Amino acid sequence: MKKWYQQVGSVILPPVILFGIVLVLWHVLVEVNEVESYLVPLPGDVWNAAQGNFSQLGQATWNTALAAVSGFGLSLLIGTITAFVFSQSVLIRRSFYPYAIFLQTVPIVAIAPLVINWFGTGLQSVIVVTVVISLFPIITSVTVGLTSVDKGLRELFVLNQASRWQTLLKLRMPHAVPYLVTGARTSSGLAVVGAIVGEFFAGYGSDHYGLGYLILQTSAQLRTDMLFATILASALLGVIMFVVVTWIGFKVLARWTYALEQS
Amino acid sequence: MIRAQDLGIRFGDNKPVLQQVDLQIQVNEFVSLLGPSGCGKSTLLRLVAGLLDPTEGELRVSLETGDWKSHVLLLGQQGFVFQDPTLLPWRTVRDNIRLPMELRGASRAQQAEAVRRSLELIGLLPDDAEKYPRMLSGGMRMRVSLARALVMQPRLLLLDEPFAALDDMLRQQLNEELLGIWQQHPCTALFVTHNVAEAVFLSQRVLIMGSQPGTIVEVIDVPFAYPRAPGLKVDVEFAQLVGKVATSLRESVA
Repeated sequence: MKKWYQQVGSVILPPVILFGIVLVLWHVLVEVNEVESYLVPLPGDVWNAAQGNFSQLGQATWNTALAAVSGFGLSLLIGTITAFVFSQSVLIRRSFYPYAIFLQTVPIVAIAPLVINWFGTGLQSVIVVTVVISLFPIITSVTVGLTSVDKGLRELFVLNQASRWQTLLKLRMPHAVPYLVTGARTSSGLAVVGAIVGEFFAGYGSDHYGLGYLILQTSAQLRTDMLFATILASALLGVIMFVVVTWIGFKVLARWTYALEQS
Repeated sequence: MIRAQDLGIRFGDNKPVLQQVDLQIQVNEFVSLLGPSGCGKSTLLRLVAGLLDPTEGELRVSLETGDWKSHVLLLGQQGFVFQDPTLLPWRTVRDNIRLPMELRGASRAQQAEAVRRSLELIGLLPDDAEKYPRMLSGGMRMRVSLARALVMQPRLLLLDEPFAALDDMLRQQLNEELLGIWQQHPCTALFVTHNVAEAVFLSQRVLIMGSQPGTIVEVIDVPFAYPRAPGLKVDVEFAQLVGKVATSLRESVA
């Protein structure tokens, strides 16, 4: 058995070392090639910008996180319910699936103005855009989870005269849990993307804004160091959501998802 | 008892999988269905279990009372053992075994009592009952599967090559355990296998199936009295009968 700090070391250490190498390379390349700071700032400048505008950056990250988490939660709810309906019959699945794919393929840029027409600017529109972007993986993975139960297990339930409801509750739902977790991991990253894109179009206004608005603003003002800091904050938010979802999937739901851990 | 006449099944417009199967199995009889792979013996077992419906002929089942039903599921008295353990991976051994009772709405106390009896029957310790299937060996998982089939104290036990995936030692051991349980608590047992010695050791009659289309080509009685001990397998008469059955099986394929 490895000690916990050895495990942490073997998981955390390699990416941290890589991060350090990238920082050094970044710094050296910018200095040697004399790149203008409005094109690529030095890592130190980005750090200073982040520190100097810490409360602004923190507030924006918090606002975006709120939209991303709300949208993600709604996606989980709507996606799971949709998957339940889909799992009820092949006919329903065949009829509705092409329109579910629509969610996946429609350019969000094209429908964002429509969303604002319907819901106005503000948090609710950002959440709607987030849901549109992050819903699809939940629908597909949970539908697969509910419908791909092994034939032997289904026969076991038939032989024991299980009702449709019992089969759903005691066989299909627990079987779908690892699929839900897989879908949720993809969806959690997409939710952050959705929230930021949503904010591009439907910001909350200049006194109350998220990372999307901050990206547009700092980019327009050529404050590239702050832009970099904002981008890093966005990435960090995505990683945190992914890690939390993964942790819940593997630790809290371990009874159902132990098999995922090998992958 | 189980009675089939001219039983047949085909899927869609394909050639029939089973044709003209005539079958009679008495109450508390142990019968083996022996045949080459692909002859439809599992299909026949699924017909008897009520998982499939025949497209030709007739299948009737009854308990001691002589109350005939067209469908085994209507009796609600069958235990089925699959080729794979077919356990729910998110449930402990105990929760897997009590599943049939839970689905039928038995009370907690009834479930606990039935699980205790079932665990004892297959020789599992109470400690093992709290483990998850992934923590068990292949043989142990198959035992759990058997315990689940027995938990309702079925009048009809249907087994679909239950120990085929296990190594020979383990398979023989589990056969002996199965026979021991059946001798203590008699029920009608239908055992599908492609292993000749296994069929002869366990059953009172061996039904030999031929293929394309699958049907019963020969019925061989096994005269050895119960209780049977593992020592039977080194008996000369046993070896002779195994040889005879093996010859019939070969002819059924030719």
